[in-house]
Amino acid sequence: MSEPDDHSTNLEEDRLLRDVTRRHFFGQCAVGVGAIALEALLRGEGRSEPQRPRIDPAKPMASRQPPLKAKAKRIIYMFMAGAPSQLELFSDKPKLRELTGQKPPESLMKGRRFAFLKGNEKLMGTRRSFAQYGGCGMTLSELMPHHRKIVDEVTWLRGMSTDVFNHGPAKIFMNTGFQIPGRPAFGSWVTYGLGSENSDLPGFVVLQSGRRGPRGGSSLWSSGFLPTSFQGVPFRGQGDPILNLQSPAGVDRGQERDFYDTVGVLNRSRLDATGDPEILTRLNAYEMAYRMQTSAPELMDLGKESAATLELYGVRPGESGFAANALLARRMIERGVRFVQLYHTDWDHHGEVGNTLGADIENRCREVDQASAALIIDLKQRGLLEDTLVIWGGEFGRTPMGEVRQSTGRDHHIDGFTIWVAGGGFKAGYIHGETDELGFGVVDGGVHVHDLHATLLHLLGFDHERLTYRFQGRDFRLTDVHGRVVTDILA
Amino acid sequence: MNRVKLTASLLFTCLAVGLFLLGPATTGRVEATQEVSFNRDIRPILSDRCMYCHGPDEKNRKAGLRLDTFEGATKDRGGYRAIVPGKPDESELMRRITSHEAGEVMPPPAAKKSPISVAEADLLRRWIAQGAQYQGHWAFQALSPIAPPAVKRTDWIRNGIDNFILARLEREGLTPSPQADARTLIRRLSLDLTGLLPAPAEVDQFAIEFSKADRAGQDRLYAALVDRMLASPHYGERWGRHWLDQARYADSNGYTIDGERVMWPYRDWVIRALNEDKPFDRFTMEQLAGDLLPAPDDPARAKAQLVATGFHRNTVINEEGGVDPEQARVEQVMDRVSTTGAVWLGLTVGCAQCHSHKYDPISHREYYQMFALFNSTMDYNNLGPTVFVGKGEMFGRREPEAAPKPLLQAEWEKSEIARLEKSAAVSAPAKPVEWLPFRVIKYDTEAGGPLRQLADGSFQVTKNGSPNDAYRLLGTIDRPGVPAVRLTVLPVEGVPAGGSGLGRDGSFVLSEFYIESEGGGNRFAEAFAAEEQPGWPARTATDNDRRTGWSVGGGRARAASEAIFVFGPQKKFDSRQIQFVLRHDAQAESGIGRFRIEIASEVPHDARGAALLAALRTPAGGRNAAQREMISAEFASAQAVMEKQSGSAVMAMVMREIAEPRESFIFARGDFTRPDKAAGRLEPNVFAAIAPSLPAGGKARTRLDLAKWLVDPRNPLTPRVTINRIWMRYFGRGIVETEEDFGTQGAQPTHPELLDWLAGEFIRQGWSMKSMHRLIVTSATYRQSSKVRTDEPRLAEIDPRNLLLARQERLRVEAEVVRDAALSASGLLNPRIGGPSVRPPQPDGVYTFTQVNKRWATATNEDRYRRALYTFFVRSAPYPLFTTFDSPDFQTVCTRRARSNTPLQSLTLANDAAFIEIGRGLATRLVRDLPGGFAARLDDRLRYAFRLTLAREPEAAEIAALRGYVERQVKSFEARPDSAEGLAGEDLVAGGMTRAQAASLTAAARVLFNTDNFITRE
Repeated sequence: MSEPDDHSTNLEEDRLLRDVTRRHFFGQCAVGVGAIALEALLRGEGRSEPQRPRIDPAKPMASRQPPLKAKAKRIIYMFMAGAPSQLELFSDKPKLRELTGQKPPESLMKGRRFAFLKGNEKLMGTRRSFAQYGGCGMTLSELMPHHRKIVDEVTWLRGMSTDVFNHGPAKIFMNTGFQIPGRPAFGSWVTYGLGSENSDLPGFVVLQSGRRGPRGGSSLWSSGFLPTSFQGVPFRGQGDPILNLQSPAGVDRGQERDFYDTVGVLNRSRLDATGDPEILTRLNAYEMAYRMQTSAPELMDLGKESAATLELYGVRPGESGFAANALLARRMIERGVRFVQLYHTDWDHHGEVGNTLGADIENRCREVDQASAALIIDLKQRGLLEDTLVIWGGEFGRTPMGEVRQSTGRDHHIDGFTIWVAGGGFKAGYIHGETDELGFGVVDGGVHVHDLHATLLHLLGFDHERLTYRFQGRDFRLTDVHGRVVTDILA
Repeated sequence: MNRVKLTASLLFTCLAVGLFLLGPATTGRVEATQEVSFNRDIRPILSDRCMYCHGPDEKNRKAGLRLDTFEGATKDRGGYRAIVPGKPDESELMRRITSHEAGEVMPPPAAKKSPISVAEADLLRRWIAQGAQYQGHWAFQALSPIAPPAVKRTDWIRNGIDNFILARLEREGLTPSPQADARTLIRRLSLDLTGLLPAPAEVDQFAIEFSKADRAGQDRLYAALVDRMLASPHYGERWGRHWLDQARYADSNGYTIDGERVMWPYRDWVIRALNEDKPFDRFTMEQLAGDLLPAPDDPARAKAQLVATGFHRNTVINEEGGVDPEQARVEQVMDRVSTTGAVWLGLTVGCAQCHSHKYDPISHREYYQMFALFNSTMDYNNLGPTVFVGKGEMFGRREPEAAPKPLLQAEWEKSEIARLEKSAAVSAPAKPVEWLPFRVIKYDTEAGGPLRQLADGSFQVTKNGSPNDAYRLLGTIDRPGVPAVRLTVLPVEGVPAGGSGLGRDGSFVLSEFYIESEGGGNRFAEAFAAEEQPGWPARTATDNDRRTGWSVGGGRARAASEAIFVFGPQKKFDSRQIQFVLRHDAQAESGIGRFRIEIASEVPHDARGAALLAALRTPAGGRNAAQREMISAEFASAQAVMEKQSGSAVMAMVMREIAEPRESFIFARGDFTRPDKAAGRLEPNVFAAIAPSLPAGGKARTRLDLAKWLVDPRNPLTPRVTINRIWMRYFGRGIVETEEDFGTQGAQPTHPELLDWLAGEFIRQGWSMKSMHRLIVTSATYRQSSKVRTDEPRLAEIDPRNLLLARQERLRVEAEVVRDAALSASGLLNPRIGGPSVRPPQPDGVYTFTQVNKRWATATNEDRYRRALYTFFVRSAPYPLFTTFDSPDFQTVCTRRARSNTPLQSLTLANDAAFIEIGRGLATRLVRDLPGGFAARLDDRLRYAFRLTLAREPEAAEIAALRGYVERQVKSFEARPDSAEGLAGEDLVAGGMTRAQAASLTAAARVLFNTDNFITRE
């Protein structure tokens, strides 16, 4: 208020501004307690300081600019829950086929822990046939015919590794960088850093398909110690996309507008009586709720898509599932949702009835292959791929040894599994990393989960060591105290 | 003018003022002439910028320099010293923090810490000039005996709290707020102390009397109200919920299988302990070590003291495939250490799990010494000691069971004949049966008992992995048919008791025996054995009741013995792989020691059953002596079984200590597979930095020593931390804002003297929690209005966060209170206290995300309207209302909940069927309490609805808005036939109201439930 002619603002506006200002202050303190954050703010941000976003609690999801130059603005993460076998889908190992039935070399087994194996298992090559595709020459098995179309659009990470070999903890690790529940999900970190570009929909949405929910449940999209505004919102695959979105039976839209207006009148009256700016936040929340009652069903209505698009994804009208979710994901990021995560379950092919490397893995592939490839093709033709990050993969890989149950399957393996990433800033048609000839360990181009996180944050415009949140006296990061940006895979 | 610019400049002003006047570290506030305080001014700088590399953690220390002690900082480093007391210019530290060279400046850019500011450098310079005196961290210092300070406006003071608050305000030239009006006060008190809304009549009476009374009279009325609320049984529910957050209480095991567990007896214990105002020291000791305290003579109290130890059985339990039981056990012990640290000490001790604490004086070794205190309990992941608890028992009343029907011999004989006639084994031909092998592929035990296969093919366990271990054997069968299975128990070699079981007398109790294959468990149809201890027949090992089972008794266990478990001739398995499970839940320390399993080619003959059937069929007069004896023995046994099965008693999980303490070692990097044996076996101990230290030598220290240490009046942390959390519930923020971190990284207290005075009062008043509640809520500070001050424009600038408490806070109530307030306003609330958790209606589709589909049989009786505290809590899929309103999932300790404000909350309150149902209840109440015609009574009813929900009269504009809304709703509903059915209360329609009118009253209730006012404690 340095200029004298500023006093023309009327009293009401003045009051609102004071409130807004006050909430700015609240927000700063709520997010970065203590003098450090305040000082950073006062001095402007230096090179080595934490990059704690400034959050306005009235609009925690307001779109924010990242501190560094970003290649991508949003993420779609297709999570293959249960861990698909890289040896059946992506990783062709002739030597393994040759040595099928033999004991694995001691040197490779030493120091490894497995979930269920007892130590007497034999090597097992795949019975799937492989071929090389595209300019990059990626090997793909017969199970993934549609992926042939996108081999030259994505970066293949064939040297992935993780720390944990049980499903729940490993999924939590892949999502939060830590194997025990309680840390913020990747999507929460992203919306904490960037907010969202759509005020009618949540910024971090979770979609799921398959027989059951992913192990780990809501811990996988929890905001942990971050404010709960950043938690993932699990849309349901059937019925109402969000719980309680439907007005009570018999109440029409006009009545509903009247309801929200009347609540608004009472809330404004209380704002006048108490002066508490939190009531402004509540007013905003109710307006958003009202908009979501319309925007969410509109979003879910795939009837608006062309027949060609539906065919591309393999979506059948009225049927929920992975294909519909992939298409929904595109519709969401089109509308400015920041982070969409899809879970498709039942990739845990140990060899029992219902989880064999025969019919079961074939069914899983049929469910996801076409739509996964379609998403890349669709995003590209709409010009969205260049600033959208797409991730496809499970929580770990599977063993080169067979595991004998009712049929022979594979156990969990934490080294040398394959995932793919695509879009904003990743090299197109690039293979990174290789495992030894039997597929036990990574021999080149290893990427750890923490490295993947660091790289994704980098593309979104964050230094993974500086995007922090202070909690219980410590600055926490998605990558804990690990992680490095994998520059080789950046375009 | 550009609005953004204005906002930004205002923001800057506020921040600057806030920082210089009230910033948590009060950095820069010290006048140039004033003494620099180490704790207030210097420690925050060192702690944030230097300690990570130059702190107590020896492994991470750089250049061998530590700045957390005077000795370390002033040590001669070969011609120079980091700090030379009195001589800042000779101090290397000053040179390095002000250096502009990248290779020299501290903290180095690679550390990614904020550089030292000019103001901070000035503080450090002056501190060194003044002698560089170190002080211990404030929170670890003894409580200072302190008297409330003098103030100018003595007429404002109600008790000692107010002196501290007012003195601080007066120092800033500020005034406190006036007392809130009577209606706000009673609603505030009611929500804070009971979590329910006050009844309108109660509100009216209090408001009228209050308005007529003088100041002393008002104080008396208010004090009486406080006493009444503290005496309400709902007080224990309200404050019990806060405590249960810290106890991470839930009704399921966690992780992804997330099976149900019985923990409600512990919850009931908490409610009763609070209602009885059990002193906090005793409250602490019973929960941490109730099993180690002398058992009271009164068996009920003795049992309650054991149930209290459920506190640390609330840990999550890992039931996933392939889980290492020892790893799961260690994780639980670690959780107990960090929970104890967080709840009582307000410290992040978990940091020391992998390395010495970077900021607080807790070494890696000390962490594992605390670990050692918790490392010798019997429980092993999902198995552990339990006690039977009946409904109401924790409240000192056994609720009348459905009177156990005495077992009449005539009826028993009839049912027994029916059972035996149906039995495939009794009717099977008495001929030899071929026994086929069960080829075991792999086997393990749930609690890590050392199960192994002997040369003769039998399996042996030589010690209990936990009091109630379970064995699993996966193997193949030669053909799909499994008519029956033989379980042979054999004497264990080399075990002192020499029996076939691991019980002290060599006995065992097999509580359940079944087969797992794909598609779940397969229970046998019947079972029989030649040897059965009375009351422990083999058939009860197939009844899915963990309280019963098969035993042969101690004496007979020295010989081999067998039981036959029968499916029937037709039983076939699709899979050739099946898994047997042997459970031992009925009795602790009574696992089978050695056994063998074989598959029968056909159903074997049950000769004893056949003889019994023949005896029973013989008319009573015609039975011979042997027959009479047989029947009488069987009847006695059946009675004993029935006794075990009757009643609704549940098995509450408790803690017990094993006889021989486990050895504890430091785990390198917190990895349980890497015990540091070179560093030696650890003696259990507490943290040395916190007084008092435990006496050395003598008996091995236990959890009881830990509990006593926590509540020793010389321990300064427990009373500070506890009282700070109580304070936080009343003002939305603790005196120490980081209530979970009283360490050097935490916030400084806004009113340090007040905190110490309150902590001292807590001890002086015998650790009485109710006394502390009374003290706080009767203070003038608490009784202030929460309205934002328009009379003190400076406040917005000086104290935008209301740290000085020149007014009360408006606080959104917790998830549970949202529901309970609606229930109490509507009159639907079922006020029953305690008992098993209930399942009120919840939106469809909650369970689509969990691995195992949870059953949610929605209550159709009055359990629909129980308080939220009693809602069954499934960790992997919590009741949606709770999550939406920031309830945690209780995987780990929660000492403070977030208070978010989201559109999902709006949608829940507006549309959740449970709230619509409660809204219909409120509409019905309006008409029931105010009978009459719709139009004639509309105004009265809506005013009454305001009083029910908000405990106040509406403003003119508010009632006009609501009335207009209702009138428009009536028209809308009338215009569309049937549209009113969803909202109209059936009772109202039956009473003669039109559907449209009834629905519109529900709509009015819905509006009020959705106001910010309704879910806010003002």
